[in-house]
Amino acid sequence: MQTQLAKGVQLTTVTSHQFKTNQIIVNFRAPIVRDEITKRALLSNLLETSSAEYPDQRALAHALAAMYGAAFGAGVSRKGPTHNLRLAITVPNERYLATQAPLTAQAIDFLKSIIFKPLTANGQFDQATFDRQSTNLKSAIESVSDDKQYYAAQKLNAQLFADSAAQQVPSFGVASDLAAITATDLYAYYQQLIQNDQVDIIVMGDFDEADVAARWQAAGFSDRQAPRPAAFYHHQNTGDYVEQQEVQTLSQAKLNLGYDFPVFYRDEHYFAALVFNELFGGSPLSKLFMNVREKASLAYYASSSLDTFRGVLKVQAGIDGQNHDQVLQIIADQLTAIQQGDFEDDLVEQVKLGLINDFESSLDSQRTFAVQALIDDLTQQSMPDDEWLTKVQAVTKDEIMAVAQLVTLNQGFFLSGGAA
Amino acid sequence: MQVNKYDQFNEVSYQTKLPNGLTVTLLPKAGFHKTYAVFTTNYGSIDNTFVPAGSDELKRFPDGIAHFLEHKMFEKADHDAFQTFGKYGASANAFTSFTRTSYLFSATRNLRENLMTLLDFVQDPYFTTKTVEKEKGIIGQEIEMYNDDPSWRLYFGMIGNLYPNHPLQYDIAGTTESIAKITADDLYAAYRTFYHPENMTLFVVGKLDPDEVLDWITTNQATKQFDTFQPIERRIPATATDGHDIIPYRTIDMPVARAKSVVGVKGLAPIEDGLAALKYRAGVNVLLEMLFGDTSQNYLKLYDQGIIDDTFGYDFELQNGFNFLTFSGETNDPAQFDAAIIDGLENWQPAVLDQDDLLATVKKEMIGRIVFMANSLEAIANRYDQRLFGAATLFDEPAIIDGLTLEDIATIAAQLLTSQAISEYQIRPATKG
Repeated sequence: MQTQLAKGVQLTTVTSHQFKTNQIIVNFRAPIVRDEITKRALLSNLLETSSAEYPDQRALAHALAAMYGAAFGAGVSRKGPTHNLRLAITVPNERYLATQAPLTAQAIDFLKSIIFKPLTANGQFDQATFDRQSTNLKSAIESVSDDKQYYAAQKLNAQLFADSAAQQVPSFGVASDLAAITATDLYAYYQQLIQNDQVDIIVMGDFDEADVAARWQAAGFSDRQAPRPAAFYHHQNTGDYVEQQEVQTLSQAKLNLGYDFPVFYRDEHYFAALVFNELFGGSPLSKLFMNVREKASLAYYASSSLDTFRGVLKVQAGIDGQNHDQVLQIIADQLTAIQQGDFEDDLVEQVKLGLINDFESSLDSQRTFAVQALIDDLTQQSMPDDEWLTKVQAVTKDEIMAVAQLVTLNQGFFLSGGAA
Repeated sequence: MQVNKYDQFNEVSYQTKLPNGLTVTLLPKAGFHKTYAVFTTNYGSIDNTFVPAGSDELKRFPDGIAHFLEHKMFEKADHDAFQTFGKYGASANAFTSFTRTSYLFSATRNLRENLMTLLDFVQDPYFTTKTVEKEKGIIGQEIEMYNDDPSWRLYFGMIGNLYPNHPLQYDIAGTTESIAKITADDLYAAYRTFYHPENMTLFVVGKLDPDEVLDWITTNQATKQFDTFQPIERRIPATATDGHDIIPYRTIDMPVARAKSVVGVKGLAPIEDGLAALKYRAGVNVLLEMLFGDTSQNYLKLYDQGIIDDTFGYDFELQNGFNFLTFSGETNDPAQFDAAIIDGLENWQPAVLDQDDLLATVKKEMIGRIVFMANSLEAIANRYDQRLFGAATLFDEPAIIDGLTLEDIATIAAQLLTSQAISEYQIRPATKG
């Protein structure tokens, strides 16, 4: 059920007896702007750890524990040209507990308290809390580079989007931005966000829909004046392959490749692209998995992934550094093979079954419904489950070969431990 | 079939032992699209010294053999089990822990075909010199990848401190040198010893009809011949009950942005199996929450002092034959981090004694979290451990948590948190040169 709480503020409720918990998610969504990304990440940390009613983590943790271990968290993410600040809480359904407490109603009231009553004094966020969270975010961002797979992926992302500062920066921000952000600035930015961001609230589980709608109606969100943000960012094809290399102290090298792939969420090529990706590197049956890992024994992981909100395809492989040229060649050969139709019909049927299995399995996760509701609102379209299945099944070999022709290798990042 | 009803959760489990010794547990979940099945042998990375089936002599096998065997089970003379699962639309995987090896799939369709594939591929070993040699490259890459992971190094560094004379200290995958020695004959010897149905369990949860599924499994198993089961003799070295073999402190340098530290506590006393083990685990988890959870005094104090931050976490590992605690986090000052944790552990009394309200809050939280896990087929199946907890499932846990008293928690704390059981391990940022 959908309820428009105000212009640009939407409540979606999904009821089901399948799950023993109820989940409430509030998304604040805005066009991604380079200088707002770190602010939004810091806001997410502040909102997750404090509010006027729960001024420190212990007070907050006690409130959550009293709701039978309610799980509360805040986070940031990117979808195409939009940045999303998300607050989520999940509570057990009291039906399965020895209590009469209305946990879902309490959880909604808790979220409203977090959103509308932040911990402030004198027109700014509480200074001590702000300082602590700013320091912690700085450390967290700096430590991200310890995860070499993630580090390599991030470097590739920066290369792929060299023409857009907002697209280059990770959704969790940049450590060097933090020194210039004050508790006063950030509070002003938050007040602006509360008024202008698109808001999507999703409640999923077994609950009284009218009561939930009434509670959110009473929250008092105002009409948004800003237009609805665009759903897609279009990557620019640079045509030629450019590789950047870096040497660090490490035993396993990482080779990350970025391709221009102008296919977007649920456009005419979308379903063929899904099948193509499974065939190329998206599954254990894929060409990359079979040829780079299994046959040539060259890697522990070698896989591909799609970003259909920005029009790119990525390949990531963990390899022995001295095999760089051979791995690059094998990856190129697999793409050529698919473009030329060098794959069995049986394999296509199998990867389709794999996609269908993933899709149907995802219906067993409460989170799926929240993610889908958000994408549906972002793209202003939705599709019944049956139609999705039919469209995957209908993809032909010719369509896969045609969509593979749209793939152009643009960027590579090679992180190695130096000469072997 | 033994039927267990969990009225509070509106769930029912069915359990039986087949004539060949295999223990089967089935748990239907209404409304789910997917079925998740895990086929587990009680054989893990620490079982590197045992009497091979058909022999009477103890033999030391290369480290990493259980994990190597797990990888090789998928490959057959003319096909790969992954492909068979692929043909039926299932997603398959396997993992090896210290004490177990599990093979699993999840599927929304073709349950019968997938279940038969799981049983058949695990019960049909095929190893040749050629295929064994080829796997060494793949697993070598896996080992290298973990070598670069500071969190993994931190965890195994601590285990090395707590268990310096025990196979726990070895990486589950072994080392490049140890796996180089593995032969097809070794794999067959391990297989024949540990993959007897008597040493295995099958847990199936999700969309299923218990009578139908049990019928499929029973029919499949009846067609296969197994030797008479011989009780398995494994040699796991005893560890000192006074903790004198624990290495109190080590540090290494790695290219990390910020130092990481872990404080470990080795459980010195043996733990009983069955419901007692489940109760012990619940009790320790309550104790940890009271001592260092986000509802505790310690947590807020250390957080506000900047000694811990959001990277702080703790874990209790309880398995057959060993148990230990770890408290880890990133820190600018590892010595200060360790000192603060150790102080909290050695002076646990104020956080526990007379804290009736805190105990009640923590119990609510933990019982609620069991309800969360009831949504997850994977959590339900993977929390089950027949060798350690007997027939108990996730749904037995709320009553156990509810029954815990402050005296229970204090008894556990007094016995577990002793100075001689504590150790420190640190990763310091290498100077870039």
